[in-house]
Amino acid sequence: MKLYGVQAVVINSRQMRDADRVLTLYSREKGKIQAVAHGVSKPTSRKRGAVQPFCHSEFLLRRGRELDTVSQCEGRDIFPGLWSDLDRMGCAAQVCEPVDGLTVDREPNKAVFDLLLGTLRKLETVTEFELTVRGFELQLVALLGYRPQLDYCVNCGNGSLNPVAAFSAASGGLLCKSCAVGTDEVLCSGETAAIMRLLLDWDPVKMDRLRVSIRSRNEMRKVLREYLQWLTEKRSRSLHFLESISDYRTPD
Amino acid sequence: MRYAGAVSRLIGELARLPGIGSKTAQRLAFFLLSAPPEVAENLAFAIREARLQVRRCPVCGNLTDREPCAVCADEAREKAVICVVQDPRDVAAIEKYRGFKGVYHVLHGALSPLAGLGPEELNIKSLIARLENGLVKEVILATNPDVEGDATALYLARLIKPIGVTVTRLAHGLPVGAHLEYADEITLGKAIEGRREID
Ligand SMILES: [Zn+2]
Ligand SMILES: [Zn+2]
Repeated sequence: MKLYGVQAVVINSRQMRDADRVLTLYSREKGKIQAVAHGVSKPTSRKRGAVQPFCHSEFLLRRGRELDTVSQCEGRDIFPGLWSDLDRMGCAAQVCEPVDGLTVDREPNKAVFDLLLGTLRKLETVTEFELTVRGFELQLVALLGYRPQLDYCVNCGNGSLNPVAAFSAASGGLLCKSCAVGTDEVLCSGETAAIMRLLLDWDPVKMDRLRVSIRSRNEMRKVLREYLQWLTEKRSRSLHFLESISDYRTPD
Repeated sequence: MRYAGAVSRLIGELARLPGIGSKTAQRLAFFLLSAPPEVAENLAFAIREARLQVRRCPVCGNLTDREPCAVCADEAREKAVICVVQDPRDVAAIEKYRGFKGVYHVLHGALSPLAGLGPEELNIKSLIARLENGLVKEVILATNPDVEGDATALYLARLIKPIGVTVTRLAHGLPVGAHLEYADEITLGKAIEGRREID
């Protein structure tokens, strides 16, 4: 049978020629899939809603020689809360981008799917969306086998980590003060390391209760940006977007 | 099949045009090469002239062969209402509906959280400059109803509201002639959100 059904989140959607779009789906059943949705930019298309980025939909796909095509689809969660707020939209993109970058086609991972869907649901309502994204990033890399070493220095094995100094993306973990040479590692204080350890295992529901200083937020953002960039070998586009809109005045 | 230098270059250039694959590019190339020489010369001349003459209107950013463009130069158009669109083709689409008497602003694109396209890559600075003289009363955001269009509209609203100009967004409704039961969830949701009193 050439048709198959999946439940998936639309993690990317690019305009192709005419009214077609190429979708990147992360499905529960088959992992990452690329598929073409024909005619979905026309107002008459019934598929249009369910193929928008961040949507969680049921898809009926037809196997093709190169790319599969969307035969039918129906939206399950369309996340209007992500669409009506620029910052949440940017966070949703930050959640979808590394899933695309770190996974390979057709390798299912149910835990990744559940984490992705659960995080998008949280992002619609949670007030602490920045930490929600950080928690997602940490848990995602851990699920995919890149759990960062946050308990001791990756170089000398010093477990007291006193004082913690930096995070090395290439070594995948913390460095103590005597091992940090300061070339390509990112500043990371003891407080920041402690919060990242918490976020690695915490339920995002509890995120609103966490108190985190601006300094630690900035350190964590840089640490995870470096780590994801190193793992995906790409600069984050969604982070660039979020930074570029954070200045609400005239861009110059 | 491989062709000699000049022919393969022509095919390559044609294949860069939207909607033209390599097969069509070959067909076009061989048509141009077998037709009388003036066919190809006229086409090359027309492309060159159009490209030289057509530029962005310094006021609204729409493509034009004179400065300012016909809409911006028209005394009868209401300069107090600016309709912001993503693409010059959107201006043409709205002009077909003759009911709009205001002027336009063409962004030449939309913000994209996933592609990492930020405001610095769009024609936004000149829009804000147009609002500074206090004569503009309303900005209509006519970006597409998708993630990119919505992101652009939300960003512009954030930028423009503090200036004290009214910001409106095109209603997201059901397509004319469509039946409710066939509408997707997003469209229906937005149509309910954007409902208005019947007068
Ligand atoms: Zn050490
Ligand atoms: Zn103009």
